[in-house]
Amino acid sequence: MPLQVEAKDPPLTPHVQAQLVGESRTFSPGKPVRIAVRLEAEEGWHTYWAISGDSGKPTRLEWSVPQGFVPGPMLWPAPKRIEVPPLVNYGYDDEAFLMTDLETPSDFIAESVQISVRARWLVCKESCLPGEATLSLTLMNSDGPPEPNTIWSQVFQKATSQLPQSTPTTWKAHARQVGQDWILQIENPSGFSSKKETQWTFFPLQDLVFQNAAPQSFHPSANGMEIKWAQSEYLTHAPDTLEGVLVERSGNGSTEKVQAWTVVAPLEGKISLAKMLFFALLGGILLNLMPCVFPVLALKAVSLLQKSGKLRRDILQGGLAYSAGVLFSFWIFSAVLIALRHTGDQVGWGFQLQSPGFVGSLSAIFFLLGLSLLGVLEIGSRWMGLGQSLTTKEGLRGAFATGMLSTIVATPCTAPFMGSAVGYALTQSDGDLWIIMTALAVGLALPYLLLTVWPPLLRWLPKPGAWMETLKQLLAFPLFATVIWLIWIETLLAGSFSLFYSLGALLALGWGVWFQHRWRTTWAKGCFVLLCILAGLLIAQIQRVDTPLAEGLQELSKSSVQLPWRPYHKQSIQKWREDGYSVFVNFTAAWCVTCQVNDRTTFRSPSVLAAFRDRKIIWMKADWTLPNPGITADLQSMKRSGVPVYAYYSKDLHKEIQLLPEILTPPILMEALQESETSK
Amino acid sequence: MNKLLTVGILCSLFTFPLVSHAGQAPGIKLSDENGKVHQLSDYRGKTVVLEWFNEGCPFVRKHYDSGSMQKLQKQYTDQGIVWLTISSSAKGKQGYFTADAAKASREKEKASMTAILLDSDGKVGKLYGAKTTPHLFIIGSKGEMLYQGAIDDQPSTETEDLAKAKNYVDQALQEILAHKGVSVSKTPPYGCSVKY
Repeated sequence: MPLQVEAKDPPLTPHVQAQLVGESRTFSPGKPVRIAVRLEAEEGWHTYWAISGDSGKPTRLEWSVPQGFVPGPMLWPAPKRIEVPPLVNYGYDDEAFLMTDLETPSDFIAESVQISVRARWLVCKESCLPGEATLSLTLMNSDGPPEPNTIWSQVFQKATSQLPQSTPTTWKAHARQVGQDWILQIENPSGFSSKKETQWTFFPLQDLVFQNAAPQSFHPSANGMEIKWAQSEYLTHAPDTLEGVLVERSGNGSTEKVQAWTVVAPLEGKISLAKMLFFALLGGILLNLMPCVFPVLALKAVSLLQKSGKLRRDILQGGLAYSAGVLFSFWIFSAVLIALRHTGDQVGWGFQLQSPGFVGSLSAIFFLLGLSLLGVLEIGSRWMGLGQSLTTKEGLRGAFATGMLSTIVATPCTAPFMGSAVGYALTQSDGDLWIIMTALAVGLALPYLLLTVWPPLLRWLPKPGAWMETLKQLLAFPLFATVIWLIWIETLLAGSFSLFYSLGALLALGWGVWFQHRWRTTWAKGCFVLLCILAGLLIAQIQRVDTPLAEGLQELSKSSVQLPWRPYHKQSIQKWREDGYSVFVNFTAAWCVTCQVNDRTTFRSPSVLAAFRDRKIIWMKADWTLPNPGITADLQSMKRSGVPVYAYYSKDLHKEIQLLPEILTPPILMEALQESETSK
Repeated sequence: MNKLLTVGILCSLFTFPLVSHAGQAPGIKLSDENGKVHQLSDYRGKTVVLEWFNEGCPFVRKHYDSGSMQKLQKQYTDQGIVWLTISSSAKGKQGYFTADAAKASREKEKASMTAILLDSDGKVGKLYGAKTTPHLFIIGSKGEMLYQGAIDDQPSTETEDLAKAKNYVDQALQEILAHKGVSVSKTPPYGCSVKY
């Protein structure tokens, strides 16, 4: 049969010749036929792959076929990595041969069928041009075996051989997250070629997971391959699997051999949710011992002693109301975190201390709490559910409020367990984040709840007596100490002038407390309320300012003169390592007490200084006192959301980043360094 | 009194995660199409939009040929927002601007930006990490970075996609003018590569 299936000349489009071609000239009804859109770009120009990379746009095909014909998914042969510094794209720099298997109806009787497609692409060299063509192809109906299309059959063969295959069942792929990199491991019993002329490339099938422009490193070996590639800066949370196409190229020109596999690697090294829940629970329990929470809870427990004569049911109700208060506040916090995360914002635990207004309000709350413990502020103690009947509704509400109060006063005290739990939670799905935060809340509520559920535990507490009043008053002082610390942070954030406002607010509060303590009348209470409002207005005046803050920070860094800290600069870490230096990064903040303690006890120790010098370790300090999205993102990529974090990059480039314990002493630090050098 | 304190606590719980933790935008010193030098610090107290521009890029063309970018510029410069369009194309590459070419382009596009800044050595573009044209940044009145990323959520060159697009810059500017927080502050940019 004389046929002219490619009768029409390809339409003229700038820089690209587009054609629709078939693997065969004929088709048998009911059997699929492979057809392809061929885009031949001029030298130097390229079109894009299914994932275009940092810029560009994938080629799109819209088919128009008669009824009964069904075009399958687009089959993309292995692409190339096209570097346009500072970007990297994925595409085809010579010929894009985009195939599809067309299903044909078995009841087709006409002599031929016309298939057409509207192809739209973007073709780029230095500049880009969108292109579009409507292409068509006529295929003849034939009962016999398909008549091969001799012009194109070789091209079809070659393109088909370059389609990504599914990985053989003997292969095992898994991925893990190390620092800011993904590590993809593919186990293959028959091994991968590590010959020099073999070129390996990995193409992501997911957008915004990998940092396209970052270099990929391949370590093929006899039983597998390890691929290391940086994460995308737009990654919001880790996917369950890493997906991409692994391409092996060897030879060039006509002898070029290309093989491609679709790799789906489940993400491992994610700490199991159960383990994380355990740590979250433990972290919550530990929070009870923190200096900011303990006084509040100690008083609650003591007040239970006084109520030991009461009905068990009433005590239990109080405990449940308290737990509900804790849960409620944590849930509000989680909801806000989730909402913020969906806007692409960078958030972390402890960041609330980056707001001077919040710090100011917190210092006022602690001040009032302290006064109420000293017994001069009646309202405060009533509010904390002390000295009143647990059976009244008021009592339950008080218990609920105490729960919320515990959560708020806990915010400045990040227990080490809690930091990593929240950090982990932030990299998880919304549901998991919610569960982890709930576990934290349960942990915080648990000790007190246990006391109310099982009053015999109360026997472990000392007998009530006059000492209780003494203890209560004594506990005011840790709270006042917290006020000092908070105000110091505030001056760093808002400059020394903010002292006028915050101390003025405390004066107003103190004066108001005096009114209501001296005259227990309604007007005295009115004065108290007015002065509280005045305090609030004063605190509202506190705003973050740039210059004094910078000065404050400079003073801070001056106070650590002997330390050769360099400012944190992520990009230079690799450079130092290549030059044979190890790098130690100290993620810290002025408001982080643990950081300050480590700074004074460990980083100034002469033995540590000497060890760092001997080991050629570069010190870097990443200061998170002020909001810094870059540092927040880097912390998150290490699964941390708060400071301190101590990261050690060995000069041995094969070694992965090591995270050191949050609480350091010189021996712990030296041991950790020793370990990271000797471990593999 | 109990109630008052409870309300206070609730408020503080709600506000603390809403702290702006934006970074500061890097400084800019560039001359415009009339030879006037603009510095970012000149615009303290105002909201500034930076728009990376290459008049030949089809992704940019989508927004100019349809008139949607000009409309956005007009709408917000009328409300006191500073709109700086920046060309970082190197000499000899697509989208490179001399002062005269920039003047002509402004007229041709009937555009209403505050100024077209010439950054042919790409210094400012690299400082900001401008990757594509268009790539937009919004800087708040205190110099803080409020938005960076794409103009909208339709990475294409076709004008018909504008109808279904959600314009991130429009949304962010509306929120800023209404003294609300910017709900979407970072998106991956799309377009042609900046021709450094």
